[in-house]
Amino acid sequence: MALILYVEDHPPAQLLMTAIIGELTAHQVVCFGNAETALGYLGLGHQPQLYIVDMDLPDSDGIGLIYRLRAAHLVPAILVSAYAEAINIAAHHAHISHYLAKPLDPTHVATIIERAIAR
Amino acid sequence: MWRQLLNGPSPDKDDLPPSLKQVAVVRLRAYWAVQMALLVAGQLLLWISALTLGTNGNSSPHAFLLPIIGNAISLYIGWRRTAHFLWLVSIVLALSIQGMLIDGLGGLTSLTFIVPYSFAGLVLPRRQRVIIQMLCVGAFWYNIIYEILPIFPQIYMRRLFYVSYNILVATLNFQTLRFINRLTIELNAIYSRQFLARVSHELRTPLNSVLGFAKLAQRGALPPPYSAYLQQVVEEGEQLNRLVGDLLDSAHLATGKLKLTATQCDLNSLCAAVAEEVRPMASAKGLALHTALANNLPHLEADPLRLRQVVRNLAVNAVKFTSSGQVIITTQQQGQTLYVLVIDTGTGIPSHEQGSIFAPFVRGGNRPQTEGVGLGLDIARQLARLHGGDITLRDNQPQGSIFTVSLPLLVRK
Repeated sequence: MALILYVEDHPPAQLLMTAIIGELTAHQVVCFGNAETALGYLGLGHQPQLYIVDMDLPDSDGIGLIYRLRAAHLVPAILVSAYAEAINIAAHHAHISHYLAKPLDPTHVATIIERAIAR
Repeated sequence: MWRQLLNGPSPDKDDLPPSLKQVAVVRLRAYWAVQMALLVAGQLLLWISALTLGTNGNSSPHAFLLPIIGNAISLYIGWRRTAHFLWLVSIVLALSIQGMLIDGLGGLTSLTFIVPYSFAGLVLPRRQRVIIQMLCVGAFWYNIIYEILPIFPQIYMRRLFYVSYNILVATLNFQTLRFINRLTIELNAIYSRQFLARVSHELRTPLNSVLGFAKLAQRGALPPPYSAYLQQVVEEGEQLNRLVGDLLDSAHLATGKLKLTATQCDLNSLCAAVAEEVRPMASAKGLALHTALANNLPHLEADPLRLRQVVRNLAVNAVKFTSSGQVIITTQQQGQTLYVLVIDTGTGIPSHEQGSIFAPFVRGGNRPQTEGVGLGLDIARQLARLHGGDITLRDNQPQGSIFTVSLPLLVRK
């Protein structure tokens, strides 16, 4: 069982990801609404095995946050976005192991999470 | 085009993201700097010409003041960015008045030459523009040589000087106006692209919850009528999501901003994957979906996701417009070109519709019950063209159609 850190400012999307991870995987998820609280959580010494970060957040952009999270604690990161163009950005970043496009497909999300954690 | 001319860009809208606003402001500043320089140069030329050559009897003492006022008004209008069209009219009027007051023939020159020349440059596509402008130049010199010179041979040099001046100003003017026009179109494209990206994002955010939770709820075994209801929610949600994607793709293709990420891909496995994807849809309608794939097909340098979209759009269309029989996806190689043929036994496409079938928002046979907005073929063809290929259509005798995607192995850069 792994701990997953999910950063997303839209509450229904948080609830959906929590439900997907709870129903389809054996992992645990903690959700944060912005970059600062997520970084604060890492600062407390928690060590998640995977980051899932939404592209647009109120206080940072997803890619910038992935850099900062991975600088604090180096584990794989998945970028989630409803912007179709984000896939081109994700493809060029070594820090992003997978990309998930909204609307999310639960089974696909579960597969990608398992694959990312296995890396 | 006319609408853009009349309305002009409005880069000071508050809802624009700051980076775009900055781009717009920088461009407009650059444009106004050029415009100011041109006007100052034009006025200087005219003053020098008047001081060195003098004016003819038609000249009035206020001749030099009026155009300056006219230019000031036009600059003010332009600066307020209320309407480029008014700006154009005022600058042409200012030039005409200037010409008429300084030199009796200048006004004629302006009206017969500058106006059609400038307007042609603004509103016509390239080929017509060149033809009309050549005609303007021809008519202008014919006018000078055969009409004016025989009447006023003694003022030949001065006339020619004014004429050259008018040509210079007209040409510069025309180029500046083309610049504004291009700027307007570019800005509009940026705005519409940004707007579409924003809208698609806003549509996908609620869709994410709708589809995600519906799919999760499907995992719990619901009693019969409710499971079917939920299935409908998922299917319609997927349909809406595809529509959002199509609209976005269409906008990106229209503004040339769709970028391919090319890798080596295998056309056969790609077609097989599409067949697997579309097969449930075909069997639901009682259609057979076959693949006939060529052996030893070489790998192709292409964007696999986009190529898959091309074949899928064609296959989905074939299934959509076929009520009985079969759909076949086949691959072929001829020389340095690979072909994907999507063959159906559907209603076929009447010859009068074959020309328009690829246009956006056109749907075959006016069938309102068929889902979709009619972007699939347009997107597929544009994507094929981005790959250096094309899509053609011919009849499948005795019934149905054959869509052929051609993809060159060596793409010309």
